[in-house]
Amino acid sequence: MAKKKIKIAFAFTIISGLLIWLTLSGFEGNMQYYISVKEVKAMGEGAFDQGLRVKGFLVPGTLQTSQNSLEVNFVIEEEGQEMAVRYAKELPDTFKDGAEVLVAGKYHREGYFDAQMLMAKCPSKYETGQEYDIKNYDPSKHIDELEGTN
Amino acid sequence: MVDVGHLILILALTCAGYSIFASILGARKNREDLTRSGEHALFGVMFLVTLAVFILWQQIFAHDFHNEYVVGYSNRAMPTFYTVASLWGGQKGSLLFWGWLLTVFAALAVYLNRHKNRELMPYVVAVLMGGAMFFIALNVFVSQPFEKLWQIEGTTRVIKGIMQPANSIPFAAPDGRGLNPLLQHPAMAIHPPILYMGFVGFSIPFAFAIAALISGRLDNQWLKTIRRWTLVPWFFLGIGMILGGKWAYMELGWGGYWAWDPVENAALMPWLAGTAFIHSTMIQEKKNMLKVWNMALILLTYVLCIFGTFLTRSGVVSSVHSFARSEIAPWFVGYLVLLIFVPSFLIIKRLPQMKTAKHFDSVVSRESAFLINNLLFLGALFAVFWGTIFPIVTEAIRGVKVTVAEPFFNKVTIPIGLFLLFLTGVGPLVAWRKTSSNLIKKIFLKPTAVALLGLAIMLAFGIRHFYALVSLTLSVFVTATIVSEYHRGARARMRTNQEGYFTALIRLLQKNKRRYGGYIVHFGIVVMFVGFTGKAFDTEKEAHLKPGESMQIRSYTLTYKGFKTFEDLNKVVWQAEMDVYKNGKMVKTIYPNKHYYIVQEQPTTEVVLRSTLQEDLYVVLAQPNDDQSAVFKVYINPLVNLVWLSGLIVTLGTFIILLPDNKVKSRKAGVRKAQQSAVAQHEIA
Repeated sequence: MAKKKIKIAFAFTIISGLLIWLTLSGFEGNMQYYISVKEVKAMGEGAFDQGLRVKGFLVPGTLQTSQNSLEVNFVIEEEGQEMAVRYAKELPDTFKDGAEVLVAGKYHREGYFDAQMLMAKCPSKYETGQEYDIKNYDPSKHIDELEGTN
Repeated sequence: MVDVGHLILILALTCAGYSIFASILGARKNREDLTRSGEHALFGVMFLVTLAVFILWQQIFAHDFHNEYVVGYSNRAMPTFYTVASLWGGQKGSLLFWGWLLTVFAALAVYLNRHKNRELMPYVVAVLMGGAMFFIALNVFVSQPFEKLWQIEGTTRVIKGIMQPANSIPFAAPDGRGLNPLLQHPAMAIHPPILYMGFVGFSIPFAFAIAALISGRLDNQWLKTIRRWTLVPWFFLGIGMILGGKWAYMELGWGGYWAWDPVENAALMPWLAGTAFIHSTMIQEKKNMLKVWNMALILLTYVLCIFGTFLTRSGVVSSVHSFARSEIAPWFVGYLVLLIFVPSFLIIKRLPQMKTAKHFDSVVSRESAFLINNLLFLGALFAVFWGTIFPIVTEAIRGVKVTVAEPFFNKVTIPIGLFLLFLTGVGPLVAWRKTSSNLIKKIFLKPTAVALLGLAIMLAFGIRHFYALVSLTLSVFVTATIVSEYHRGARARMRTNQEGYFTALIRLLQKNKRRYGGYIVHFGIVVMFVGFTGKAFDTEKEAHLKPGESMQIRSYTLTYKGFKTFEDLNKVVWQAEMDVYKNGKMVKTIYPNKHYYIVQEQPTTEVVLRSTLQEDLYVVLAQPNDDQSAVFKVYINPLVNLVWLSGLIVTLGTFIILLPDNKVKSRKAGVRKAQQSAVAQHEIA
């Protein structure tokens, strides 16, 4: 009986151990700092050559599309700090001027961010304050939170 | 004037409070009149919240743009179908909707148990009303769906608030913002309610578990009562995820259906815990083991449901520093802490009563197969959980958010998933207690042979992707075990009942719905894995084409003919035309679209598919240029349709399991008949 018990406990310990190892080893190489544009600039040299996830707002008018490929260049900013971004996959539909943009990739020494992943959230007056100006009232700008998207 | 909807919610909150009080007092003092009163109050809460929901719906349909929520999530131009969905389009409405579903489920559960489980019911009522109070309180105090717009007199300032501020007049916006165009898709309109039914539905088994703990009625009665109540939300969560995937696939235009987004993980986590629970309860029912474990699992499942709702609705993970900004976050954290500590305390208190003397007999037995299954589900859950909350944890500890990228989730969950797939084939076949090696040989010889044959064929066809080979071989193996189970069962019936083969198969399923319906669900999961495996063989290509030019992807040739632009109601449409050739033969003309919604100033990508069971050709018009040239992105997604199909198979299997048992039904029918004839006789007399 005791022998059986040990055998069973042994089997479960091994499996649990494997699961924990699998999870921990998965973290390796797949971690990215999640920071704002301002924080990227503050990192200096440390910002290069590592996975980053950066949030900022698309600066209106900076989006440059290409006629013959999906590659786009644009600038995101936060609190006056700007960062140039290059991205070569299809843009999400929510990507437009003023949108909150999240890019994941690497910051290159040439001074631009090479984004492998991009997410965008529509500009939102709704979440930031309780008041808005009636004279410039525009229902289309009123609320634009993309909630509950899968 | 405060909106009547808001007042009704306050009333509902009070009523729920009374229901808890009356139920608990009734149970303590053993007074049936009080517990009944608590139940009646529960029905009252259901009625009141229903009323509030219909008031909000009425305001949405009447375009009452004095209401701030109505402005936010509906407008005049929206089709009726999506106007209905405005109710759960935003945070406030969806929390109200959550609370409503909860009260409806609660009322149904209480009604169905009006003559049963009388010792448990007062506590069930109290727990359910506790949950309802939490959501109604959110709607009353923080996330108010009946907030109005007010204009400060003599100024152009508009503010929102429940009460009319001094010096203000009611303000009605000329039109609403409308539901985000991306959400205007049939799958998306029904995806949230279905997912919510899953999240909310687990409240019922949770309430019964807590009731069993408090009342000390820890035999298997509560487990039996919640069997269907567990399966239904489990099913809705799964179907909700598949619908969400379908929506992402059709609307987001990146060619995939699952991205390990926190919001997706939010639904996956309770599903994983719930699946573990559904399996491990069988051990308790059959062997009276694992009582504490099952209790912990159902509590965990419910906590994860609330946590999932929190993740979905607060945006805590997805923004850089959102925690402080989310008004509902502290409320949810408080409720979650309560949900973790109180049940844990109760379990510890009842520990001596839940100890069982039984032990495992062998590593190769159904008990241990179930336990390994549980271990794997929880392992996957652990990984997904850590991956999801990692940013919150690192922010709390180090002040900076660190996220784990998508590859992490794939790296961890694929091997676990494949191991689980293997168990799907092995688990149901090994015997309880101990399986002799002779029996193992007998049962598994044929399925293993079939699987190896499948492997050989795949290798011959040149498939070399490791995980794909493992996944497909296991899929063949599991399918073979399921077929052999049906076959063996049918053969046995043929011998004993002198039935034909086909009749025997049907009867087999009829007589043992849980087991053979379960196999159908398992088969659905196999089909889903095959669909997932298609991901290993997908490909994508980008091309810039002028009218008349073609592009080649695998066996397809796409010839671009040009695009036209036109305006349609509330949007501008760019519509490209392409001829699709497969192996040189013209098969279809497709029209990939790009829309631009004028009011929302938002483009949407309208994907077109050439869909077969074997693969999808998925074409996106990425960018139409002024010179009639255009950039296209094309994907080939093999086997993806099997993922949707698997949803149907799982639905069928779950439906069969949920069917009422024949015996009970006929007995009830008999009673009814007897009553009717008695009444008839009485009337005649």
